[in-house]
Amino acid sequence: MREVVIKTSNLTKQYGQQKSVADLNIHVQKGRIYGLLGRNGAGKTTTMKMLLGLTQPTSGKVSVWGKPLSGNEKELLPRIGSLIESPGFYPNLTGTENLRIFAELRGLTNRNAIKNALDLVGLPYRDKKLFSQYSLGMKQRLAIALAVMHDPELLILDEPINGLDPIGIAEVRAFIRALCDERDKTILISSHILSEIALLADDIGIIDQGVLLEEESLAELEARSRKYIRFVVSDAEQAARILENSFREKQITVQGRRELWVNHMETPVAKMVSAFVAHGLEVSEAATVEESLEEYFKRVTGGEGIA
Amino acid sequence: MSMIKTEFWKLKRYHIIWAGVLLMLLSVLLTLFSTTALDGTVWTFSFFAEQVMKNNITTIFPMCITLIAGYIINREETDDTLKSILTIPVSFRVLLCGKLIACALLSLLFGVTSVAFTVAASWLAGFPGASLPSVVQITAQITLNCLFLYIAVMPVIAIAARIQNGHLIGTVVAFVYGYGGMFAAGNMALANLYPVTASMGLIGYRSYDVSVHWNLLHCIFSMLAALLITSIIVLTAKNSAPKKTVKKGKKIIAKKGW
Ligand SMILES: Nc1ncnc2c1ncn2[C@@H]1O[C@H](COP(=O)(O)OP(=O)(O)OP(=O)(O)O)[C@@H](O)[C@H]1O
Ligand SMILES: [Mg+2]
Repeated sequence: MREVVIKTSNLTKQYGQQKSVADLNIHVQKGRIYGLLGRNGAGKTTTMKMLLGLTQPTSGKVSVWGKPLSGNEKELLPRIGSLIESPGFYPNLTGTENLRIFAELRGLTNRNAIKNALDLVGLPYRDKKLFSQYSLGMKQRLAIALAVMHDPELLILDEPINGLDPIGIAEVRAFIRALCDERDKTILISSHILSEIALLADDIGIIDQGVLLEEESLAELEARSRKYIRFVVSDAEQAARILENSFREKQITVQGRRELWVNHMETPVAKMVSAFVAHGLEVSEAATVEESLEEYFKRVTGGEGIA
Repeated sequence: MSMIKTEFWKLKRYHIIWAGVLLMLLSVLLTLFSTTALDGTVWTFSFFAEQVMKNNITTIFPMCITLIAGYIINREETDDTLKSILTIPVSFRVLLCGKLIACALLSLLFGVTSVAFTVAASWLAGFPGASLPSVVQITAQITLNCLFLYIAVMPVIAIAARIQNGHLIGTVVAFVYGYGGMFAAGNMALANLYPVTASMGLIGYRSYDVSVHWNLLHCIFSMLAALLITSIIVLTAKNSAPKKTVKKGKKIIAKKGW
C-alpha cells in the first residue's frame, strides 16, 4: 500500500437538519489520481472545502500527510493547490496581474512561475484582456493555473473541466495525467461526469447524498462489473429448465417471455445453443454482454445513475 | 508588507476609487457654492480651505472612506477570491489588517486630491492670500485631517466588515457619525473627545480663534481609543468571511451627497 496523503475519519458536515457529508472516510494515495464522483449536491464541494479548512467539519477529522489539518494549516496548506467551485478573480485585472497578486502573497520567488503556469493552461502571458472579459473556459484555465502555480505536491480540483471545450478537456486531462505520472503529484479531482473520471482516475470514490458508497481502484471496479450471456429464444422458461437440467447452470435470470441472462460462463455458448435447438426452441440472439461502468454506478447509487 | 502592496495592485482600474475622487471634488464644489450664498464674508484662500475641511469632516469624508474601504473589504467575497487567499493560507484577520492599513494610505491620497481641488478652485474663484506658506499649511492640514478622520471611522469600517454586505449600512452610519461632529463641535469638551472633531483638534483647526481651545491630549486619547476598538474588533474576527446569508435583493441605500 502506498503512503496515504489525505485521510478523513468520519468526516461530517451538517447544515441545519441536513447532513451534506456523512461519516466520510476517504483515502487518497500518494502519486495517484483520486476521482470523487457524485451527482449534483452529493457533497463533493463540501468535502473539498473541509479538506482545505474553508469550512469546519461538524464532526470527524481530516489528516493530510499524516498530520491533522486543523492546527497545522500554516505548514500543510502551502503544499496544496486547489480550485474550488467557480473561478474567483479580480475582474478589473488581467489574468497575469491576478496571478501576480497571489504569487506575491505566497512569497513565490521563482520569476517564471506565473508564465509557466499560464503556458501550462494555454493562456497568454501579459495579455491585455481583463478577467471580466474572459470566457468561461478561460476563467477555468486561469483557476487551474492558480492551483498549480506554486508547484504543490497535492492538488485538490473541484470539477476542473467545467466549461472547457472538448479540446480543452483533453488538454487538461493530459496535463493532470502528466503531473501525476512525471512529477509524482497526488491529485484529488471531483466530477459528476463518470466518463471523465473513468478516463483519468486511478482510484474512485463514489459519493451520494453525502455518503461514500464505494472506494476502489478503477481496475478493481472494472473487473467487478458483470459479464453475462444474453439469449433471445422462443420460450425463455423452457430454455432455463434446459440449462439447469443439462448443464447445472444456476445463475439464470429470465427476463420476460423470450429473454434469458446467464451469468456463469463455463459452458460454451455454442453448446447451450445446440441444446436449445435440440429441444425444438428457436434461438434468435445469443451475445456476450458486458455491463458498462455506467450501469454499475447506476446500480450502486440505487437506480438513478450519474451523469 | 506584501499584504499592503497587493492591496494597491488590486485597485488598478477599480472604479470605486473614482467615486472617492468625485466625492472629494464634490466637497470642494459644495464649499464653492456656499461662497456665493454668504454675504459679508471676506473669502480668502485660507478661509475657503477651512470651509472645505469642514465639509470634508461633517459631510463627505467619513462616508466616502467607509464606502470605499467597505467595497475594498467586501470585494473578496463578491469576487469570490477569499477562498484562494484563505488557502494560501492568509487569515481573514491578516487580510483585514492589510486592507485597513492600505486604506489609511488611501486616505492620505484622497487628502492630497482634496488639496489639489481646493487650490484649483480657490485660484479659479480668485480668492486672495494663497501664499506658499499658507498652501503648505493647508496641504498638511487637509491631508492629515483625512487620515485622522479615517482613524475616527475605522471602528465603523471594521464592524461593517464583519457583517454580510455591511459596507452599505456602515456608510450610512459613518455619515451620521460624521454629521454628529457638527453638534459635538458646539461643546469644546465634547469636541476634544468625539473622534470626528478630535481629528480637527489634531490639525489645529481654527486654533487662532480665541473661543477654540483644543486639548491635544484628549484628541490623541480619542484617536487611540478608536484604534484600540478597531484592533479589538479585528483581533476577535473569526478566521473566515461573514456568513453568507441566502437573502438576496438588498436594498440600495440612497447615496447621500451624490
Ligand atoms: N452553505 C451552505 N448552507 C446550507 N447548505 C449547503 C451549503 N453548502 C452546501 N449545502 C448543501 O450541501 C449539499 C452538498 O453540496 P455540495 O456543494 O457539496 O454538492 P456538490 O457535490 O459539490 O454538487 P455539484 O455537483 O452541484 O457541485 C447540497 O444539498 C447543498 O444544498
Ligand atoms: Mg460542487
